[in-house]
Amino acid sequence: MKNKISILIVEDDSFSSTFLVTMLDNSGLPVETITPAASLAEAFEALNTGHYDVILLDLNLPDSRGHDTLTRLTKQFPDKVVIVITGEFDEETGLKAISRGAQDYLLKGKYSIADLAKSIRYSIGRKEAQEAAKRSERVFKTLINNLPQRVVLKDLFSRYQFCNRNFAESLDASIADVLGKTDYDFYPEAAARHNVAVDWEVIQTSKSVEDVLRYDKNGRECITRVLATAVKNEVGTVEGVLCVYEDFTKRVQYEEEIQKANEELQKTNLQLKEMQSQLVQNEKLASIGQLAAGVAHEINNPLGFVSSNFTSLEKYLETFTSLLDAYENAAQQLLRNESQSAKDLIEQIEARREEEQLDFILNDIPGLFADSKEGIRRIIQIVKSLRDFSRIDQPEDFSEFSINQGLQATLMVAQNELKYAVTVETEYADVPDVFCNSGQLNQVFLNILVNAAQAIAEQQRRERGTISIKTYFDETYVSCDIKDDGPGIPEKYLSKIFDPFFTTKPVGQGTGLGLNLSYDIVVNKHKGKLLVDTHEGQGTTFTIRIPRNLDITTEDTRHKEVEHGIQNDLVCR
Amino acid sequence: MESKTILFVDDEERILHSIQRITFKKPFNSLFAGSGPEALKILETRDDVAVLVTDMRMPEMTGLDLLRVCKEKYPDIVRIVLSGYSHITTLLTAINQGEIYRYILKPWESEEELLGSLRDALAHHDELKNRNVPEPVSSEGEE
Repeated sequence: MKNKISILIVEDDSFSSTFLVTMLDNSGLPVETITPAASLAEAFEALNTGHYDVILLDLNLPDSRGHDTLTRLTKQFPDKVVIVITGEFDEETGLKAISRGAQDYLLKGKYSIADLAKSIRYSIGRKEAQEAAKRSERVFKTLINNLPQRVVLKDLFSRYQFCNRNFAESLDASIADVLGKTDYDFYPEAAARHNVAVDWEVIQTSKSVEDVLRYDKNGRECITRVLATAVKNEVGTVEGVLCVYEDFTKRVQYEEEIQKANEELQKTNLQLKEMQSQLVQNEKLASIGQLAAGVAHEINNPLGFVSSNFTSLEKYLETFTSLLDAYENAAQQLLRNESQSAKDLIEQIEARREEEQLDFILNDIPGLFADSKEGIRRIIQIVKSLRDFSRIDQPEDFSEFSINQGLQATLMVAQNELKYAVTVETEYADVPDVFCNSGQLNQVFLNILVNAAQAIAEQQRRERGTISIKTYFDETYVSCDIKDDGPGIPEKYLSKIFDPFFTTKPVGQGTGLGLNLSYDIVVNKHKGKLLVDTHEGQGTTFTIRIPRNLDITTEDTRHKEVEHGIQNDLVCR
Repeated sequence: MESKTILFVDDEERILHSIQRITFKKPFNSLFAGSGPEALKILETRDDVAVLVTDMRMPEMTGLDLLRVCKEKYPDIVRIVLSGYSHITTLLTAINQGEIYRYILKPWESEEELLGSLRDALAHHDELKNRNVPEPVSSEGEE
C-alpha cells in the first residue's frame, strides 16, 4: 500500500458526508485528499479527472438507487476499491454488494473509526491482491496458450479441467467446448481407452509417463510425444493428470527431409567425384586419342609406300615372269631350229622389254627395297614406342625404367605434333633407372612437350622453335629439364597452371587437365617434384624430378610439400 | 590426244617413289615435287599440268595453302588431296577451302584406288575444258 490515500466520498446527505470526513481525519490513516461527491454523476466526473484509492459509496443517491448504483460504478471503473456504506440494516445487502465488486461494506451508524480504518486498509490490500492474481492469471494464460505444445489438465476421471488453445484446436473445438469432456468424446474408442489407461497409471503410481501417439484423433499418422504428469495438492494427494502433447510429426519430417537432403548431397558429391575421375579419364583418353591420331598419321606414310611398293613388286614379278617365258620360248625355238631367225626373236623380246620398261624396273628394285625397309623400320619403331604408352591406364604398374628411354619413346610418338614447329635437341646423361609407372611418366613428358610445341606454334614466328631436353641426376633424384624458347607463362597465370580446368587454349582445344594430371602423377604418385621456371618472352623450363628411391623419400617429400606448398615450385622472373 | 601431266606433291619422298612405281607405264606424265613452293615453281614453267595431287601437312607450305594458290592462279587444274588425315575437320577444310575434287586417304588400299581417281580426274579435266567454250551472252532485262 502506498503511503498516502486519496478518498472519494459519494454521499448525498451532507451531514453523513461531513461526519465521514471527521472520522477519517481522526482515523490515523495517511490521508492525502478527501473529495465529496453528492451524486453518481458527480462521482463519475471526479473519477474521470482525478485519482482515488478508495471510494466510500452510499447506494442510495439522487440519480441512482440500490445495487444498481454499485453495478454502474464497477462497470465503469472495474479496478477501483469500493466500500459500500448502507443505511439498511441488512447483511444480505452487504454480501450482495461484495459479490458485485465491492471490497467491503459498512452499516451506517454501526461502525467505529477503527472499523472504518481497518476496512479501508483491508480493502485496498485485498484489491491489490486480486489485481495481482488477475495479472498472474493473464500471464499464465498467455504463457500456456502460446506454448507450442498442447496442454490439458484432467481430473481423476480423466475429464478435461483446463486446457490451452492448442489443445482445444487439435480437437477442432474451443476451450469452453472441451472442458468437462474426455478423450472418449474426441478420439476413436481404442485410442481413448489407451489414453485413459495412461492417465490411470499416472494416478496410481503418481509418476510421470511418457507415451507416443502414432495416430491423431482422425486416424491420420502422426508422431506425438505425450508426457503425463501427476498433479498433487499441498499434502501430496494426486488430484489430476497434466498431459503435455508435443507434435514431432513435422520434426520427424524435417529430420527425414534433412537426411534425404544429406543423402542427396552425398550422392551429388559422389557423382562429382565420379565426374572428376571421368574427366581425368577423358583427359587420359584425349591424350591417347591425340596420340593415336598423330601416330596413325606417322604410320600412314610408311605404310602407304610400303604397301604400295609391295603391289608394285608383284607387278614387277609378273613382268619378269612374262619376259622369262619369252626368253625360254625363244631358246626352245632356237633349239628346234624353226623358221624364225635368232635375230627376229631377240628383237621381239627387246620390244617386250621396252614395252614393260624393264630398265626402269631393274633400276628401281634396289630403291624399292631400301624404301620399304625404311618404311618397315619406321613402323616397327612407332609401334614399339606405342607399347610404352599403352600402360597409361594401369595405375599400379610400377617398374624399373629409364627416363631416357621414356623421353625417346615420347619424342617418337609426339613427332607428328613437334616436327613442323620445333627442332628438338637432346642431351641424355647416363641416368640410373627409377621405379616408376613408365606410361604415366611418358604422359607427363608428352603433356609438357606438346604444350611447348603448341605455345611455340601460337607465336607464328618465321623460324622454328627449339625444345631442349636434358637428363641428369644426383643422389636423391633423377631429373629431366624440358626447356622451350616459346612465349613463357605470364606471371598472372603462373599460380594457376596446375589447377584443374585451367587453360588458356581456346574452348574445345584444351581440357585444362594436362598439367594438373602431370602434377598428380609426379608429385602424388611418384613423390617427385614438378618445377616451372619461366621468363616471359624467352621461354619456359619444366623440371621433373623423380626420387631414385621411392620409399625413403616419401616422408621427406611430404613434409616439404606441407612446409612450402605448391607455390614454391613456381619461379617467375 | 596429247599426253597430260599429273603433279604429285609430298614432303615424304618415298611416297613419291611409290607413286612413280605405279604410274611409270601409264598414259600420262608424272611430275613430283617435295614441297609446296617447289610445286608452284613447276606450275610456272609447265602449262600441261591437268591434275594436282597434294599431301596436306607439309613444312614451309601446307597442302591447303598450295590448294588455295592453285585454285586462284590455275583454276583449270583439278585438285586432289592424298593425306593420312581422316579427321572430319581436316577433310571439311580441304573440301570447303581448297574446293577439291577427291580426298584420298593414305595408305591407299590398292593401286586401282589411286589410279581410278587419277583417271576420273583427267576425264573431269577434259570435261571442264570442253565446257570452257565461252557462254552465250544473255540479254539483260525482260523487255
